Amino acid sequence: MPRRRPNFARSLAVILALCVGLLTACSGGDNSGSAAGAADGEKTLRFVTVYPANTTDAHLVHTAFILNSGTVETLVGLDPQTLELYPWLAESWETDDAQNWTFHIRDGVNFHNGKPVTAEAVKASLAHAMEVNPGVVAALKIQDMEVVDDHTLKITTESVYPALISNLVHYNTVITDVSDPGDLPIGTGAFAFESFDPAGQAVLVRNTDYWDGQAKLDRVIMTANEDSNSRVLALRAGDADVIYRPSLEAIESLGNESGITVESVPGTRVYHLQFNYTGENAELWNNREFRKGMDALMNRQDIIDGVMAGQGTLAYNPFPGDWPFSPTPLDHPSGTEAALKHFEAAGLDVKDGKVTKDGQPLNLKIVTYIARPELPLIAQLMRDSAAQVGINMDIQVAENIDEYLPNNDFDVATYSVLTITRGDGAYFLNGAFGKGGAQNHGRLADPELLSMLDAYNTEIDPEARTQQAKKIGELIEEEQFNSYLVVPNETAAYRDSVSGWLTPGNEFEFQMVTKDLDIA
Amino acid sequence: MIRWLLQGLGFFFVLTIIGFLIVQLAPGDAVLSMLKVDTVAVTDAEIEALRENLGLNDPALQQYGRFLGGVLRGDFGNSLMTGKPVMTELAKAFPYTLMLAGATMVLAVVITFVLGGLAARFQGSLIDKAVGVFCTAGAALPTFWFGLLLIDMFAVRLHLLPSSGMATPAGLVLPTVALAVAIAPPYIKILRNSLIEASGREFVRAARARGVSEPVIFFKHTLRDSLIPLVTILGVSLGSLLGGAVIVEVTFGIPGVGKLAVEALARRDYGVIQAFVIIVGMAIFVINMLVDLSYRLLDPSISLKGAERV
Repeated sequence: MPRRRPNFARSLAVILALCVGLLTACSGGDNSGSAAGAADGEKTLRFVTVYPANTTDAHLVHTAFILNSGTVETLVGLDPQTLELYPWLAESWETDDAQNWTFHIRDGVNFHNGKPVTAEAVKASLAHAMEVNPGVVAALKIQDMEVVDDHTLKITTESVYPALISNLVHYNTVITDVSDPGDLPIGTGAFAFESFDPAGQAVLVRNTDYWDGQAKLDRVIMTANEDSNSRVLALRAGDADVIYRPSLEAIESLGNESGITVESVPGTRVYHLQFNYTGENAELWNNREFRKGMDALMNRQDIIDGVMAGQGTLAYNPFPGDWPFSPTPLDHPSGTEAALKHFEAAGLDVKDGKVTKDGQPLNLKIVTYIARPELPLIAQLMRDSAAQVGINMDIQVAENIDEYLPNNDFDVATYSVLTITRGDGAYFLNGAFGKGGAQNHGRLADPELLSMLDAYNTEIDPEARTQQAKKIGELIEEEQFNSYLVVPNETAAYRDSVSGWLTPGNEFEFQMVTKDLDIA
Repeated sequence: MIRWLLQGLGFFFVLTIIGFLIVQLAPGDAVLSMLKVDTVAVTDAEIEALRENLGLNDPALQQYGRFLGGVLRGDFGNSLMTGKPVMTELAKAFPYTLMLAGATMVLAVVITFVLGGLAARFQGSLIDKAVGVFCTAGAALPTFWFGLLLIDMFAVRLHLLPSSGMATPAGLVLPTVALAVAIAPPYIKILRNSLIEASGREFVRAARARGVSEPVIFFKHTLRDSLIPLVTILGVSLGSLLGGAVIVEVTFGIPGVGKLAVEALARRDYGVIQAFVIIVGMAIFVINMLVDLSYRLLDPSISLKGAERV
């Protein structure tokens, strides 16, 4: 009896057709390829940033997604172009001793639910932030708050604390109406949340009652995707009008595409090498000439060209750039010859271009991590340079660098930290060089530096603080306490129909969706 | 049934121990994340004080007792990162993963039956070879790369589907295809080989000799006989899909449990990890039970053998 293949094949064909039909039916959404723009008379912009919010609580959220959304504001703002502090929801403030502060809350500002922003509401907001977030407690060091009148709030800090003002820029200190029973953050920004699913998207609508003028856009769809290639594809597919941080490898090709603009600005973090002053080779690292020798092994321009696709600027101290507290960089000759001179001055044996100590080659451990993909490559460059002068460097890749380094099992660590931040050096200098500072992994305790830091921490006058921060930066560079290498650029890409976008120097301290943002 | 319940109970306690040990043995804790050390200048003293305050310095047995007591009450505590109950966080993420896993399994099964069936039916032909190439390519392609290719083709070039997110059902299509193509190859091979093997068995030849039609032979005899190994591997895959297809979830911006678990690991939000281990572990246990049950439906001789042992 002949086989009945046609029936069998027909069955399979039916299944296949059903499958294709199902997929086609699913693709019925609006994917015309063009972002919303102004086609329907309403100006809508789609923005894809990097890190999603993990909660709708603006005081607890682990990323700056909510601040970036332009829905909330802090008492003190930071100008993204000058990095200077400016009065935001606080119209002004004064203090005689940097411990007892009086804040004058801006009049005529309403929350998105229509309630006025009063000193009482600000106090409740800050109190809530401190209740749910131990980081805010550490940042603000507030001992007491007292409402004087509707628009005057007195704050007393635990001790003399001039850094309070700059810490009020922190994205977890935004002022929201914490008495509102809803789930959405009720802020004061130019946009308000229409809906907000931290796991999905935030729909922002223009706040028609905004105190500082009307936003140009009617609506913003804001999402986050941690995969940089996916963000680039979203822009190319028309699913996004603006993306923050396109992948490094895509920046050049995006820049060559018509209809897309790529913006690249110096960031406010510095990639650097931290030296270990208390580890196995503490004797070496406590020798300034040795540190300078290791610094001379690093060719900064090679890092920018070879590792960062040109998206970086040179750094020689923790405050590179042209900021008021930036030191004038010293001369840093690099190369094996310069390095060998320093190693010889450090008392090491140099023979035939190789360095030894007590007749033995040096073996050092460099620790790096992959959260910032350029850092392991910088570690490799250092290992290769060190090998040229006979120094062996073992590379260790840590999953979480801040957990690995306290074990004290390293000589050098590649590290990335915000240094040029919040208009004030207090955050960086205390964390990275203060006694017991959580980012002082090398446990440096230089008496001169600590003394300068103590003076800085009690200096009230802003101008004097700027000058002191600059002097501390100069000392750090002169002594080569760490080796500051490059400032990675911050980048964004957007369609030419977008105007008013400003790429900030970091994602932590600025709104990205602003009232000036527009789409044609 | 009682045997299964006892097994389930034992497995549950093993999972609580594993969940607890993961936290004890893993490096670090949530304190650095909670204090926002990347944006706040904190000292070692402040770090240690918070650790003490959270009870992270308590003896391990005391911590396990606290943890087990909570789990037995169905309370996994609050996420240290969001302040919300861990179960709320997981409940938000699971629907996305369930949708993705369900759609993936359906599509993978369809692909398997179509391609596995064709390859078996036309054994040694060009079709069989083409299916073989598909299987090799599907198994060899890195999922994230295939996912990006799909986005490039269907979102960037053709503008047919969204590049990421699941705001509309259309968002489910590309991640489902990416995952289904990745997991289907072994099913196809297994089904193909099982079908070929079954088609040569005596009872199939006998049915054919009795003049039974080919579709009836295929669906009633050959296919049924070939399903047991397939169902086994499908059960295993479903379990791992429920655990979250992390790479696909990240590539397509899907906020499922896999992405949640990875983020929780990065932030050392161990309450979420513990709940994830226990819930997904129990889900896999139940799926395996169901797979066992399905054997009895697919092959009645299995239940008969079980009855004989009793």
